[in-house]
Amino acid sequence: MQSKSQLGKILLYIAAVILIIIFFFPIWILILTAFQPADLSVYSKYPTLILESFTFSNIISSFTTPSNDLVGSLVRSLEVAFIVSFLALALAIPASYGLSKITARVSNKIIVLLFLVNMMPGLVIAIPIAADFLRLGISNTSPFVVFSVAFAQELVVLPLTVFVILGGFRSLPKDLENQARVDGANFITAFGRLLLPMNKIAIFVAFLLAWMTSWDEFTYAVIVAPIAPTYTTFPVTLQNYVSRGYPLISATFALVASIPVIALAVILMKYLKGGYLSGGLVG
Amino acid sequence: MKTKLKLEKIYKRYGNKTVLKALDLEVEDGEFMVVLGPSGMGKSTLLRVIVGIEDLTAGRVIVDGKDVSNLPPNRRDIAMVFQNYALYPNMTAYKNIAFPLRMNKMPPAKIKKKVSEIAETLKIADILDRDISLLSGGQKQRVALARCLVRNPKMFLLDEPLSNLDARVRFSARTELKKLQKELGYTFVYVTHDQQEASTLADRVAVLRNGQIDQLDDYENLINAPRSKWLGDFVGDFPMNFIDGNMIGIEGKEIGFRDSWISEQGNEISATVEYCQVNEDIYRAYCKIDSGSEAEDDNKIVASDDSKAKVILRVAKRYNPGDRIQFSLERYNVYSGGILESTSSSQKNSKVTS
Amino acid sequence: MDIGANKNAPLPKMNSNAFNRNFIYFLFAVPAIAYVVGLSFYPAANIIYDSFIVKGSFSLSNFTRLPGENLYPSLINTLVVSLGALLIQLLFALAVAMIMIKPFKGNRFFSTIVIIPFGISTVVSAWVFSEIFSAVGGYANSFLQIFGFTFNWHSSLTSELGIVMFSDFWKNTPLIALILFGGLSSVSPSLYEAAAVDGAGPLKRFRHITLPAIAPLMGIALLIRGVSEFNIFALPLVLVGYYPSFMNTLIYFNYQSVLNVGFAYSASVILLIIIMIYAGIVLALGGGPKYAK
Repeated sequence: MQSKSQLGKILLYIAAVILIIIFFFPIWILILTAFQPADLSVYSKYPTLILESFTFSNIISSFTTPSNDLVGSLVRSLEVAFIVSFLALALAIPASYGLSKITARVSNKIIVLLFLVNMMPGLVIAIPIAADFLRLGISNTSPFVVFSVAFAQELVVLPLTVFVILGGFRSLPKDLENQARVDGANFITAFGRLLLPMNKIAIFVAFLLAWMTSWDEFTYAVIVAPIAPTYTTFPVTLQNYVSRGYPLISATFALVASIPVIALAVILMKYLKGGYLSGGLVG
Repeated sequence: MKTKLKLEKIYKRYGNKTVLKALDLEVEDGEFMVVLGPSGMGKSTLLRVIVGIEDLTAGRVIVDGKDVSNLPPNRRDIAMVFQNYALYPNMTAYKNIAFPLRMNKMPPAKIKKKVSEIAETLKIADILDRDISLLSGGQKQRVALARCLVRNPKMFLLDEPLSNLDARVRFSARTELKKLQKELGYTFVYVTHDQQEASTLADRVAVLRNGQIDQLDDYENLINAPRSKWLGDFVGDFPMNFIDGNMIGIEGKEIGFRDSWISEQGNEISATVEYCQVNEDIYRAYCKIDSGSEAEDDNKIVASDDSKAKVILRVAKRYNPGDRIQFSLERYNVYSGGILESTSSSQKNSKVTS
Repeated sequence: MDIGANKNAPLPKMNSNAFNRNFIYFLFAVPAIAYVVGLSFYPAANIIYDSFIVKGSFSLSNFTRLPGENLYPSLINTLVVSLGALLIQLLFALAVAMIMIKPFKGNRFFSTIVIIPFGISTVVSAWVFSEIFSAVGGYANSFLQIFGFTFNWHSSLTSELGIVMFSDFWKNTPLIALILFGGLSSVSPSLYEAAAVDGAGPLKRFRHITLPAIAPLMGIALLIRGVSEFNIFALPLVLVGYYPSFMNTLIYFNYQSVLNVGFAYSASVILLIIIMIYAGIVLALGGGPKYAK
């Protein structure tokens, strides 16, 4: 028995190490390109796999090169992410509250409907919308890009957000709201003082998921790009640099920009221990 | 006495299932009304309708002479303790108790005073700062009760508030609750399926069955004169015994009696013991009534030929399976078509001696 | 409404609040439903309509001529990569989640490392993989060189689809792992202990405890990820450009040219149909959201 569990432990570590290598290798490459001179990485035929020399110059130039608009486009992408997430909460919190009060037979159908609609291919949605924008003669402005990308991305995010928050509301004991009403709270007070605080983790998880799946939205952004070429969002700007053969600056910038997002992912993971993605699911 | 709560022809339906059906009930000021009934008979629904969490399908709820049927729960001024206590998990015990006062916009200083008063009364002053999750079952029950009592509403509704407690705590909580209610003169509507709670707590008991009040009486009357066979069966620690058959003067009817009403002295009825149980020094014999085609003696009660009447008798000693028991009844009720026709404690003697 | 019983007692007026209340709760959901339905059905209807219009009149030519525009290879590539990546993702995500759930020294480190790809922008990860899998040289070949050989990752369709599949797997496995992890953490450890006491081996325990716990979540993951798989776009665009072509790169390629824009519409309609069929299959097999009660 002892040797058997020892063997299991060894196998566990072997599997963990292999998975770490698979998932960390590309990150390592990103680090290598970011912190090494270009002739050791992207300009080298067989770039080195170990950190041979160390420099901050790539990072500094990626932030300071005057011709690039990486900072501006990153700001736009962040705006998109925040608009999408807050709009998602604004729509999903009341929706999932309402759905949690309706019989599951009806509300499940509504959830399935939302997910089904969510299945529209991104380009199928994006192209006609962009065409309409063109027809309307909407100008090349930053708010136009941000809002049109955000409104389109909202479609992808909303069903999942409703799903997560609904799971949260369903897991609350039903009588709590009743008790609050009996204790003299009106509907708004009961909702704001009791239900929202008690459901805050599900809401937080939904917000993080929405934010993280939106900040690098690409499909709508690339379709909208020709309409407003000077105000592209971060992934499109990045793709432009890559396709024009200047990847180093953008990749370096991207790595730096990714660090806070990675931190968010780790936070998200911690909260998912409560099983929020499975909220009201049959377990 | 003044009427506190009046329910007029209350209907409650879910889809095509009718849970409450033309239910009428009056509760007097300061009364401890226990609503007793088997589970699934709409007891909780009744409370929810009174407090306004559930809408009425039809009918009126009148509190202090005022129709509150269309008011939301927060404007009815009725307090309620839910079965699972429904304590707010994101608040401390203190905040839970203070919540209804805060909702009534009471000044903080006064809230503090009121909460500490009620905490003193219920002996929970030392746990006020604790998180709800750290409280024991008994403490939770007290906090829930404190939250309910702190606000001085028109009346109180309690939905099986003691059912989640273990037996020992439940007993003391019961005594305390009754004391509190009488001292403060509160009006309680208390739902339970527990006979003992009904017998010890209630001024009057309303038995709820099939969405209606089957019998509204004090507990002793419920025991002695249940209005129907079903009630006789349901109310009491043991179901009422029934014998149908050829009894002099009551042919085609049934007599019902409690196990405590038998006297082993007589020989009106004979029965065969199937088995015998002892519980807290009380022997109970589970017997089958002997049947015969006719009575040898005018005074004998004989079950009809095909009667399979089984009775549970409280007896003085242990019997073995197969033993015969002869007994008489000190009193009995007569049921016709399942409905109480007469009680016999007074007339019985004359009948036996005649 | 009819009450039935108690005919002699006159009924007080009926209350319709019960119905109203349900309806009010439904109203809470209306903005979200309207948003999603409105903003997707309108463009979808639009594009379906446009796909049948050529030079102002009804025509099927956008569809009949589509096979000549690389339709079938795009279709096959999309299906192969989507289903392949989905399968690998599910298997690896399950492995990752099962390791994450085990208490061992280094668990935090492991969990943090494997979650990172979820935080990396798709375009960035696509670029990194293009640096790794180059036609000549690149990081993968730097590694292979140690063993004395190199490989042209763009030399064949198989290897090109392979690198797209791998990049997609890398980026999206963490999310599925998180979803499955949520399911696994809902299983009480005592269940495993009880099963072990009852003599169930690791395989039996997996089959009878683990799998039922995560099956509905796998349904969700299949639904959410599967649909995004068919929509794969940024990755192939950056990694391999327009060839080998995928449905979305085909659509985008045609969309950019004024003459071929009709093909973008018809190809979109075909992609829409494929996704609907896939969703139908997953839902029919019992995937998708399902709740207790």
